[in-house]
Amino acid sequence: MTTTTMDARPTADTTNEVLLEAEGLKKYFPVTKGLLISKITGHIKAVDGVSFQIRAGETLGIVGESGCGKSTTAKMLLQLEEPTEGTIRYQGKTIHNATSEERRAYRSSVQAVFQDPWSSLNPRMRVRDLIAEPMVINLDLSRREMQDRVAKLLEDVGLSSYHANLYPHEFSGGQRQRLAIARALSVEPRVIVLDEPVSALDVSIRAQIMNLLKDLQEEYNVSYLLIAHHLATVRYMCDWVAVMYLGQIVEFGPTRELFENASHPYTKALMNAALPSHPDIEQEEMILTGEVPSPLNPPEGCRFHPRCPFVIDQCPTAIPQVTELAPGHMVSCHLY
Amino acid sequence: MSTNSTIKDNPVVLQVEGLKTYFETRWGTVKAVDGVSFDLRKGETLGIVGESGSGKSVTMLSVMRLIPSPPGQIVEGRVLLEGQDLVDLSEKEMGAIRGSQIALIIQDPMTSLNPVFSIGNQVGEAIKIHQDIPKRTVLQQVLDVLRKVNIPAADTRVRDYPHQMSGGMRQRVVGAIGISCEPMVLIADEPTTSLDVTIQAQYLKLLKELQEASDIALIFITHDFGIVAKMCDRVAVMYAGKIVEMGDVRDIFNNPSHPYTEALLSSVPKLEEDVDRLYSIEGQPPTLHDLPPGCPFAPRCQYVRDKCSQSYPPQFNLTDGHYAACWRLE
Repeated sequence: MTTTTMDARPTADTTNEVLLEAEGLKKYFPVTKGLLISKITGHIKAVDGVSFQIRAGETLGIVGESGCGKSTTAKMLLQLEEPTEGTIRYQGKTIHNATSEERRAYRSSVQAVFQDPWSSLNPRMRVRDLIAEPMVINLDLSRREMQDRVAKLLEDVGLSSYHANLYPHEFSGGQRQRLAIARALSVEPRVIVLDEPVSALDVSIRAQIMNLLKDLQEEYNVSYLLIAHHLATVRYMCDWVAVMYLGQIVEFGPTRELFENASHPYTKALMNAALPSHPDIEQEEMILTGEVPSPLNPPEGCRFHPRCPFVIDQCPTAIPQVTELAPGHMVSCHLY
Repeated sequence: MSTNSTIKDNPVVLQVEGLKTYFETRWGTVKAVDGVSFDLRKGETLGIVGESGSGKSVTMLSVMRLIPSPPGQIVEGRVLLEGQDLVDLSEKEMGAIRGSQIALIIQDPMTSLNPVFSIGNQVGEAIKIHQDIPKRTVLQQVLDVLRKVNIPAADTRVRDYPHQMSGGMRQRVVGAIGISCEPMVLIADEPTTSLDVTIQAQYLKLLKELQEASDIALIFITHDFGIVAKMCDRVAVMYAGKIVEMGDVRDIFNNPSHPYTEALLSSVPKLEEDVDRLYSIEGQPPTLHDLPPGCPFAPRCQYVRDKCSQSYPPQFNLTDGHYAACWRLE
């Protein structure tokens, strides 16, 4: 398989139906100059041609450093940003020319849990109303049914029904994240976008939330798109992993395969830079120099070449082809 | 880490004995640090691990004498820097030591630099305060320090303001301020939490090189056992204001003896292998103004027994320099 843009769509033998599909997604933010008569002087290419699939009941992880476009990708899936180019298909139907009714249905089947549970919950609302809000908008339920659902959801996320009367400030960080998860689950979504769901929590609480998310995935048969920068978290949570650099996916594959045979120099560098789990683990010394270039005018050819320790002649000029190294394991690099 | 045996023979530079720092609040006395003791040798790296509210940062602020008072107060204990007790010093005497002999690198480079002063000004401030040297030499020293922390084109960047620099560069500047007066002890409070992984790796490598170049004793305050595994010679694990376990980094990782250490280590996902299911510590860290009697970890402990809720366990020595405070070791 050789194409020029990375197509992170598994070809391996999974039988689960494809729920959500992104093809050639691009998001350019215009950079303007001048106050009254503003002129567009350039574009920040936050996401530049990203394709992937999310299958029912599976978890896709997107890793990368700040500015790589992972959160913008998530925002496009949540329809918080309109893509500049490319399509998003939900259950085979594109969502861009959907009717408002279909859009509403899409919005309730794709929910989100954000990083910071201190700012994602309205402090003036009781937990009961916070969790019920998506249901009020999307479902036609009686008061009684709504109350029962809230109680059930609270129990499913490990809280109790009496918590429904409290306000968010009465909860700890881990409990608030549980509330955010309960709210996301309230309209029975098929996909939940998890944007750094545990990185703001205490270490001893992170495992609780990760295990909870895994249990709920089985119970509700929901798919996750996990945005994270912590590689070990991604390894624990995901079935598929896409590594992003400067708006593009540079490597994609089944989790285990990708972690054991990381092939793109950037993926390797990320793995070597990640912290070891034991003092006796010897890490290869492969520390990248410099910082991520500006997405305003990304480097020509392979975007990683100015920082790449294995750079060869064609890297600065030619855009690398995508090569399939193992079933489902794709890499976009001139070395392969 | 490789020079472990030689570090053990180095002289002790910092000794903390029975430190207690309490805060008076409207909910009662918060015992943020409640009897912490450790020592630190020249060239050694000590990791202090704990969750938020464990007292790790307050311990270090107490050592630096930066506890806002009121409401906080060091009520007991000694902090000996090369034999001199810092707790008894006047504010003026402490001011001469702080920043020159013992320095602090704080967590967030976005907020710990002043946006209205240039980089050169801020790095030079500590040098001007602690060393009586002419203006021209200050600039020269600032440039030297900036080069030491690998800031490219230091002679032009010295005029930059913090907003003109990236997060990684700002963190380097904060590091430069820390080492500008060649301290004996450098305390780094979560120095890399806001950095990206590849930038974090660069910064940790830099800290290690700086330490080796001038035998600085380094204290890492962190919640991340990965940083401990990579950087530290010894580890102290804190919970609810107390050190619950302390020892050489390998002893802690190979033979974690306090249930909290054991639980923390098994609740972190691993980069190198698949983990079926993480161990998850139930419950929340305790609130410090309302601690249960006995061991504060007892309500969350999987090995809890009757004795645990009655009295706080003493330290049980396991091997040389490795101890844990748990009744299970009795």
